[in-house]
Amino acid sequence: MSEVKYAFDSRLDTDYLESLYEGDKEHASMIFEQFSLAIRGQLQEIEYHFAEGNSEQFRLKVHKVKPTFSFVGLPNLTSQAELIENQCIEYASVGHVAQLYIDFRNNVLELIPVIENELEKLKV
Amino acid sequence: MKLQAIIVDDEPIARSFLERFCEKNGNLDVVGSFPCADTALQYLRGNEIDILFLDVEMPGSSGFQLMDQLQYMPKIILTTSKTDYAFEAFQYNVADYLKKPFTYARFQESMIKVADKEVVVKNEKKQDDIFIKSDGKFTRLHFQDILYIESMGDYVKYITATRHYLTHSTLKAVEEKMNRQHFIKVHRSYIVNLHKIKDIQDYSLVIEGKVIPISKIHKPDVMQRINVV
Repeated sequence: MSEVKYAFDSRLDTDYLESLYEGDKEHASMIFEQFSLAIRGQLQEIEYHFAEGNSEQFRLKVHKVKPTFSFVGLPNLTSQAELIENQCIEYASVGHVAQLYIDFRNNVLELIPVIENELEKLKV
Repeated sequence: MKLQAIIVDDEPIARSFLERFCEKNGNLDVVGSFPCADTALQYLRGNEIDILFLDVEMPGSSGFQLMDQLQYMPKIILTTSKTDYAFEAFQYNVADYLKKPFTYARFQESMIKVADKEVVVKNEKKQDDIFIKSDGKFTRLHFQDILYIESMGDYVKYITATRHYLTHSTLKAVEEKMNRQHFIKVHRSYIVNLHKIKDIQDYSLVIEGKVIPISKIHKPDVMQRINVV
């Protein structure tokens, strides 16, 4: 008999998540929970350094949060964060990445509820 | 005896993720998990370990600064979200370089690099062929003859230059049996023979005229395994 596969939300990169967790729901749930608990605080830190115009601290915080999006099936946000990080290195100014950052932040805020809903589903 | 490992990464999610893979491997004992290089260094001054999973860019000292201060060299596996450190990694003679996030198969490959296959990777076979059950009989297939393997629901299809073989199995089960020097998973539905790849472009590769997709998560592994000049 075929094993019933867990279906991730289609707004997430489901192929990516299936490759990463290989059906290990407990592992996925643990990582989604850690992401959900941390992301808003991490965004606040990034926002603070952006508002202060501190490009190096801003870059370091973006660098830190960058891979975590991929862990929850949002590799496109990881790519966006990488672009911001690279532009920060090149121009050493938050002004140069302002629009990129605003788009990135809006995308993250839009997708946080998707991750939180997925976490609830994973816990069942 | 299990190999003793520590994890150094300032991102808790990355540490948890890797701890789970170490647990799943069954032959690794994670004796410490540290959020920065300085606390890890304190531990390493009083304890000897076999494997060090090390992030590069962290607040305070970097992974490279930690390596500069080590009094002995365990096997080091860099775990980083950047691909820019290949030259430094080579200079420090690190055993492997894992781009986060990575799959369990890629993690297992790394374990093969750092230790004897028999010790670390369970059930790793040194054979160069397999027997598959197809059309009611067991047939020997040499790894060198297989072009690629495709998942088809509850079945997998082995493709050689001369014919196809359909067997009742899963790609995951097949992956565990295949020789990792020859084969790599490139997509949730495909395992390919590395030596048969003709071209790679963006997110696809070509074997004997067949275009096979490469998924985003497997692309870094593929590029690392091929011999790019």
